[in-house]
Amino acid sequence: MISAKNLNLKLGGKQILDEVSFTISRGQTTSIIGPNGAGKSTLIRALAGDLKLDRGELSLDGVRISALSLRALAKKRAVVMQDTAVPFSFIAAEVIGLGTAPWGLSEAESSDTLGNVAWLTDVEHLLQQDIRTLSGGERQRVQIARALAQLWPGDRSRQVLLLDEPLSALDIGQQQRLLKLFEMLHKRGLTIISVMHDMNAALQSSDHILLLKEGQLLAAGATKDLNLAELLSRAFETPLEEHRRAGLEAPLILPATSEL
Amino acid sequence: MTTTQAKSEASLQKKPAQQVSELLAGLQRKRKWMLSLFAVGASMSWLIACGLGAFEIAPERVLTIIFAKLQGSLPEELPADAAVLLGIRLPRTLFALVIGAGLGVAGAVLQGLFRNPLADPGLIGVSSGAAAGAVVMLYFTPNMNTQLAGLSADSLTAAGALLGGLTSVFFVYRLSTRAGYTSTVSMLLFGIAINTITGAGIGVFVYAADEARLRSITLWMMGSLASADWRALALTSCVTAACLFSLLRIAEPLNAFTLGEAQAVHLGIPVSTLKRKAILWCTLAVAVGVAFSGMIGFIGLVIPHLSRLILGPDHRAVLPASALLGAALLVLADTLARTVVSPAELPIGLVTSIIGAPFLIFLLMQKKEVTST
Repeated sequence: MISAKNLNLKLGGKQILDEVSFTISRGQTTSIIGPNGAGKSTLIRALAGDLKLDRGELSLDGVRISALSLRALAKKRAVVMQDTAVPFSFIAAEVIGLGTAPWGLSEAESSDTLGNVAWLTDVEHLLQQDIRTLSGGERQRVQIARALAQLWPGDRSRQVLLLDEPLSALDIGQQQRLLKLFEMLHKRGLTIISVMHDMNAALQSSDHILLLKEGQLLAAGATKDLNLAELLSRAFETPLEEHRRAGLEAPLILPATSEL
Repeated sequence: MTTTQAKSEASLQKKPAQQVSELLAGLQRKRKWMLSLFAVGASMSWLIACGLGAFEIAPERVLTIIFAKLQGSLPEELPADAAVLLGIRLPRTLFALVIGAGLGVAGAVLQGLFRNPLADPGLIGVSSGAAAGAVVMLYFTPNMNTQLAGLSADSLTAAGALLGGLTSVFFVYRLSTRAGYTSTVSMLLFGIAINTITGAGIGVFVYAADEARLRSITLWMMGSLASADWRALALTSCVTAACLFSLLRIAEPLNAFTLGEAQAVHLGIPVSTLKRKAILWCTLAVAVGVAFSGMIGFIGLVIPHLSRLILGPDHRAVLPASALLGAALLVLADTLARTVVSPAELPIGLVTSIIGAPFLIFLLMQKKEVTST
């Protein structure tokens, strides 16, 4: 689905991405993790097609991203960024409706799409509300609904949803509800890649990780195949342990008790 | 949570698209109604403005004269009211409509482009550049009878203003464009710089000017539609019509742009083209207005605000509404300007500022209460 070969990017004399290569297959959920300043947000922006790379090749569904027109790309990938502030008093339905921009839908198709994604993301009761009066969690759901509306008319198994720290600034209840939503989208065949700050949320919400440190890819692969405690301890330069809890598929990463 | 889980197993086909479609249809109906109302309001304002003045003409008489003129059935020797209407009032009121519409739309587009509801056409340097151009011309053509290359003093001032406005925006745009990318933040900063430079330039000429020049410069800066004639009207109408046509066409991508520039790109909007079109047509609309009427403040700031308050922020509604309300407000303000101290005239910029500034204060005070970005 996505293949990255030797991605290189230098900004202001600093190597932000350093020979990053990986592949992501269809329907996979991937978390990009790593310490602050590792290049996580840069990588997701590169995947979104926002950045001009110094070197390397990035392709989506077999086509180079740089070769796609803006509109063709918009039909294949949707992005939810961190800064989702809207300066005007659009109602939520209008914001979600903007997602259908690349498709040129009829009014009926458009309402149909909006109805579906609003239902899916649980924002039906917010549709008439001013986007600026919503809470952080509600606004995030509306933005995700907008991104889904952008993908809805297409073939979901060939599309990708990119999320930059979707859980930041949300309380644990909101976080869990969003994680459930991602799981549901995953079941519908969508490929999801998100930058995650919280290690445990990352492991809970995705089956693969890309671990970055100082622009280099430290590890990439299925979480179940990786020695997470060792890798993460190295990446974050602090001893971490892997814990298992009954009923929870993903391991929990916690500071090592032996050190305390 | 449980509902979400239940949903993941449910089929996809039983969603309330109905609710959404009714919501959107309701919004659209409201917008159509309000826009029609604004159109009627603007026409009524114009009709009343045609009749008011030193020589009063009843609205039905205004229409009679215009129809008679259109049918060519007016007598060779015009009655006094027809002469006033056709020679003075009609070009002037139409002029106010056209310029008001241009200023309103330009303000609305620029507020969307800068994602800032307090942006004003003056920000990108068009007004101050036009003022500088006009001041230079006023300085060198102190006498109303001065002629240069067959152009009257008024036309020279207008030409200077037009050139000045376009030049300063050109500089702001070029300076904020690096490697094919135009930064709107840079445009604001360079706009401030260019505004300061042109302000200083104006200061130099004002300092060097004698009493007569000083007065003509000061009056020009406060704006007036008194120079309106059919020729000026024809020119501004053509330019403004082209601007309105082009700007209304970018209403939809402009909506996506308000989410943020990166988000607009993600939605497939070619933002560089959008920015270039918006800046070009807004500059033309404002420059041509300022060229013939001097500085008219606050329409470009206040009218889009008002439109948004009434219709919501969708540019497909805000742009036409701003055109209609801008036209109505300017024609009414101009009527006030020429009737309040009749037979003398107040500068139009003074009138719009007196109405606009308190409204701006009102808006700013409101802003504290709304969750802001």
